[in-house]
Amino acid sequence: MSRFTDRISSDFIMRQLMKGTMSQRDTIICRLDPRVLLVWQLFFAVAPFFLRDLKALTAVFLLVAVVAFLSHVTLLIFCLFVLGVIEKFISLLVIARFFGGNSEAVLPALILMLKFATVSLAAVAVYTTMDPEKLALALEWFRFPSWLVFSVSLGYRMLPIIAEDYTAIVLLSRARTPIPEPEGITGRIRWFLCHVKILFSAFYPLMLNTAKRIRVISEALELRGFYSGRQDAASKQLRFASLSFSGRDAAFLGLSALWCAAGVLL
Amino acid sequence: MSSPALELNNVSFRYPGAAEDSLRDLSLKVERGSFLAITGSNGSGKTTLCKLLVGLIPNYIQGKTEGSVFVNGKDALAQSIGELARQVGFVCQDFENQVLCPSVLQEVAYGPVNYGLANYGELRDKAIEDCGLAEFRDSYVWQLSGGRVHLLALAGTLALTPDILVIDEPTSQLDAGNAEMVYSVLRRMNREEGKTVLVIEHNPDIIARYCTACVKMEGGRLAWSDTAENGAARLNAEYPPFQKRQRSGEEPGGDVLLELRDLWAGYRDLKEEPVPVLNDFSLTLREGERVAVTAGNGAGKTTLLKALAGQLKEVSGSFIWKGEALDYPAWKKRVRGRAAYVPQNPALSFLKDSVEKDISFAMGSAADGAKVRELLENFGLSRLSGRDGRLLSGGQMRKAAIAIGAAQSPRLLLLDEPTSGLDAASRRSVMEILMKLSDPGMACVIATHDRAIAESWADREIALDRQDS
Repeated sequence: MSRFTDRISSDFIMRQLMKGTMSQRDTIICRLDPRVLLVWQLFFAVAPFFLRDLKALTAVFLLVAVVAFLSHVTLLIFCLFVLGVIEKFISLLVIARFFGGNSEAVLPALILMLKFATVSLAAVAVYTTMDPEKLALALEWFRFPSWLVFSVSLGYRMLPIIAEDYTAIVLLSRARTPIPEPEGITGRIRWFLCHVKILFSAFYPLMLNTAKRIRVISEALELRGFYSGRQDAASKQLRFASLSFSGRDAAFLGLSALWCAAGVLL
Repeated sequence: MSSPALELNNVSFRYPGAAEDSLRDLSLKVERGSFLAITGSNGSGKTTLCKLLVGLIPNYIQGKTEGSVFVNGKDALAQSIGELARQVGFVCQDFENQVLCPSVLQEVAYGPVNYGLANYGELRDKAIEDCGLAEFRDSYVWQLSGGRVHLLALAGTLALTPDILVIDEPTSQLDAGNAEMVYSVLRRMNREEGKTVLVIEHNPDIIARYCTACVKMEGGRLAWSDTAENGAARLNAEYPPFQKRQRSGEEPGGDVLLELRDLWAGYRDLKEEPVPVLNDFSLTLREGERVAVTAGNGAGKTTLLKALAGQLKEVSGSFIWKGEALDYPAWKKRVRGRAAYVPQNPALSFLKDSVEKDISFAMGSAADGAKVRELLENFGLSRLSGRDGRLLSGGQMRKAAIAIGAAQSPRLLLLDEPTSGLDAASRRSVMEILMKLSDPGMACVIATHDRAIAESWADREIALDRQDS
């Protein structure tokens, strides 16, 4: 158990997130037009809820699973996904049981679970592996508000910095806080509460430190023409030039559509 | 081309809500092609001047502006930030926050693309080349060392082909090697590309070596203006260098406090592979000893301090504390009360909303009003006790952070770069505090690239090998 908690440290989570978005630009999925991926994901966020048939749902799920596999979803995120699905399934069964259902409740529960699994796996496959800049560009192309577009790309730039600050603050406050010995049941509870308190109270200094950074960032944005660039036609043209819909994108959409149609009709 | 690069006539500026002017009747003329150092203590108006030159004042920060500012002979106060950005490039002191994109290529192209310049690819590649970042073209920002991030911020502004560069304290966050790297790029820009360079700089050696002229600001005015050589001499006379200590070469007398054997410390990369920073490292620390750990950025100074403070994950080795051998997990459990660590970014030291609360929290159960007041007094912080530590000026923030370290009454005090980023006066007052820190039972280890600490404060210097970055 300690081996496991040792691995699931904030460092580990950070590395997995960075790995997901930063180091996999060469997968087949990542080379697709980000607009295509956004539309694709949107479709699979809605479509499963209109399907009732287990066979059709399974087909759709398999397609999404293949795409997730091809986009190299990282281990951590995949595990979180699997845990989430299992939890959903079990809680559905428990609820069914509670309201007097019997073994017949398994099939509807399975179907509902498949729907949730498909929707979330599609989102995971697209968002956790896409280059944040591409995602931001696609959002801008679809005319999402500029603050949202910018938060996406700045978020990824800031994430490692903020995570580093947070870890440093937690470690420093741990070093200054008298932590009770985890002996006996009350000792363990007090030990646990003390750690929880440290984790939460670290947010206060973190926010103040981040606010100081944001001031510099907003000045830098101004200087580097972020705001003027949003309106400027020439700038827009330059930025959107990297978005191109190619045969590969058409094939991806076509195959997806074909597979789904086959799953539903056959 | 007869007009000077920059000309300020009787400029005054007051921030909104401030009681006093930050710039007062300032007049300054900077000739084309010069390499000017601007020096002066905190609050003398240096950064305000920079913001005025790049148009952040009055376009972004509105305040009361008087006088006239000419950039390349044209009225700067009437121009937009966008127009000025193509003439004046700016790298701020917190350059890390100025970098907005995750990757090098995107970052350098960011300005040109936003301003709609169709040849952004060329501009980007030239700026990357000029800043010596060619081999890091395909890197992400978080993979670069501090000096290279600074060069990246510089490349980001150079891509807009300004002919004037304004750099706010390039050396404050960088060690000597990285500072050289940045300055040699600036010198080349100045000599080969004919760019006018303004730097805010406190180090007389650097001013004498790289700059052509030097001005000192005081209270928002120009105190004096001179050639770089004379300016450096004046600064040296104002703040005479610390006396170097004579070292006898004998072993210090105190009892052995901590023996570190076969230390391995590092981190894991994205493939979860361990990457060593320190390997097979051994060290003995005695009571009452002052040790300076020196080396370039990335050689493991901070890693060593963090390992000693129990703040790293990937560490192994034996920690022999007064004869009792502990492995790293055991050391981590017992480190509280033994070692206190003050990080390089002093703002991270503050957990509470006032310096006094932080000190009393750091003292733990031993805290009482009289003790807290005494410590604040010793560190010259009495008047600031109610202020939020994060909002203090550079020198005061450092002193408060060191005070928090000392308040933990550790047997091993670990300070990471306590003098970086300070002007001459603040650096001196921090040095005086360090000189006063003496407790026969406590060992103090400072990781630093400040030669004065290594030569004037320390009993012993440990130079780590640069393992290359």
